[in-house]
Amino acid sequence: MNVKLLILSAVTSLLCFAHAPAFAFGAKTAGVVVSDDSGRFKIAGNILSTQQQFLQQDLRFLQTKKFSNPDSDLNSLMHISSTNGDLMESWLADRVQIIVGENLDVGKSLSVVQEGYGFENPGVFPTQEQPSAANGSILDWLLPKKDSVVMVMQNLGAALYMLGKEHNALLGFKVPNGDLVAISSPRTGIIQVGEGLFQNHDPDSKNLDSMSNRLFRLATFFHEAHHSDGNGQSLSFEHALCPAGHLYAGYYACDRNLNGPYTIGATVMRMFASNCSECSVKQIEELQLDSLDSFSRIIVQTMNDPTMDAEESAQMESGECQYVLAHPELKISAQSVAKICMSQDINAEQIAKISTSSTIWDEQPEGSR
Amino acid sequence: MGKSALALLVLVVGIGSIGYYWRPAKSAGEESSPSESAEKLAIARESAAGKEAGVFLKKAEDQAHFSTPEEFHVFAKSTLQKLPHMADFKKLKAEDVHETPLLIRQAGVDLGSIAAAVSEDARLAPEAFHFYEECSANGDLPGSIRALCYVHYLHWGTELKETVNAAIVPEEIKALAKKL
Repeated sequence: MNVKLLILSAVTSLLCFAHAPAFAFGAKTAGVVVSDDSGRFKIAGNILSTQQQFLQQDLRFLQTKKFSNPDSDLNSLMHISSTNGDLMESWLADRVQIIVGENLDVGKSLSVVQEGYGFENPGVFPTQEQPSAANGSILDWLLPKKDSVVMVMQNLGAALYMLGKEHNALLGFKVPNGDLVAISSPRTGIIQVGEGLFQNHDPDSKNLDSMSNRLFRLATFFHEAHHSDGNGQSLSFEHALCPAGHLYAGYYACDRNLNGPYTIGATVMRMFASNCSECSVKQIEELQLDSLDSFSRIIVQTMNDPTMDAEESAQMESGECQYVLAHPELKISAQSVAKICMSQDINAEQIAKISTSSTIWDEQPEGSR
Repeated sequence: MGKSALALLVLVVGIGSIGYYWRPAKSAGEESSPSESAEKLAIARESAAGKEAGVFLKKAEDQAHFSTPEEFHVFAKSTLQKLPHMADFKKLKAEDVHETPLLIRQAGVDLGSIAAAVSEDARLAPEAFHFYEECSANGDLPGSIRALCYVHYLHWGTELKETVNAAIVPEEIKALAKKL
């Protein structure tokens, strides 16, 4: 099978699962691509008009927002001189270019522009951590039952760049207005949004236009946009498996670095919470807890040996501190070790001997768009 | 494995860990989808105390006012019992956990009711302080919840000039709390 057929077949097979149940309102203008106010983001016509409006309003809010409580961590993470909406929007625009809807037939939108393309860092890919069978397969995540979940958002450009690089083929993506975009970098910035993004994120509000819902949507954008960064091993800032003992153990819902999508999302949300004069005390509490949930997914220490068998896993779960300390190959995070050993004395030096600290990953993107 | 299957696997794995971002579906006329219902079942671990405090719950959701600290005491107690435990998260599916799960978001609403009430009525602060102490110390609760409670525990401890016992939370929770 040639590369083109191989890729199209794979993409079509997978992405048909991304279709969500029909939305109840709004019209689509197929083929038309509109810009947001700044002209930096293209919003595809296959997104429902009501959803387009939310996107435009969210981006307009960001562009014009002045934040009175700056966040120096955010400035550092984003390499921006001050915490203001315009600079944050520029950061976003560097990583997001085209926003498409979930009902796009990705297989039909793809083509092979050039076989044998010279990618940067050839053959170098992020190390894929393997999920534990006990916690379900990654396929459970990627191929959910069509009627049980809806798409929120995905960084399609980064995924397709990775796919092209795997096959040494430069892929092209046909935008609904007919333009062909060569996926020559994870920064191509094709973001696919789904119904889930436009559902209510705030259990205490029915209003999708509420400030807290807007901030949840924007924070999601910042998280996903950061998958457009990285090169070689850091390409697309892949998520890591949360370690045993973590709230989300066994799922790709953590980051094993100090500047990944969860860090960005958490820091953005913290900044939003500290600046939301329109939010109630209750809503600020919700935003802060959301931020802490993301911060809790940053793995700061990793045990040195990744091997772990069922017996070891079982013993680990029994919470025996001595056992955990004697078996660094279990690859339990330092936080988890500390938790297991909470009643006993364990110091930073001991943890350092059996683990590796997470670092700042290189966010320079491969290629250019 | 054939080439097409291999390509699919590559794509699946590639997309998976860079944030294929799903959440439970809602169908028309339904408050929540089957998978959300599972979360809500866990949330609904509301005890008899929670039912007792039903009138206050409604009151807090609407306006966060309590006539007496005793009313708030009952409400705070029921809120504490409602907060999700670590074990509740084992029921979640992969697609539930990439973004903040409903269990956590609902806990944010519940903690928000406490924070809103005490911000409007200073008489409730001593009871809130004890609420936050218990919440911080509860090892069954997720770290993010404990960390948020610990932030308030420290705040109200200072405000009320109460002795704060930092030993009730492990270092990882303190580190998380410092993020706010």
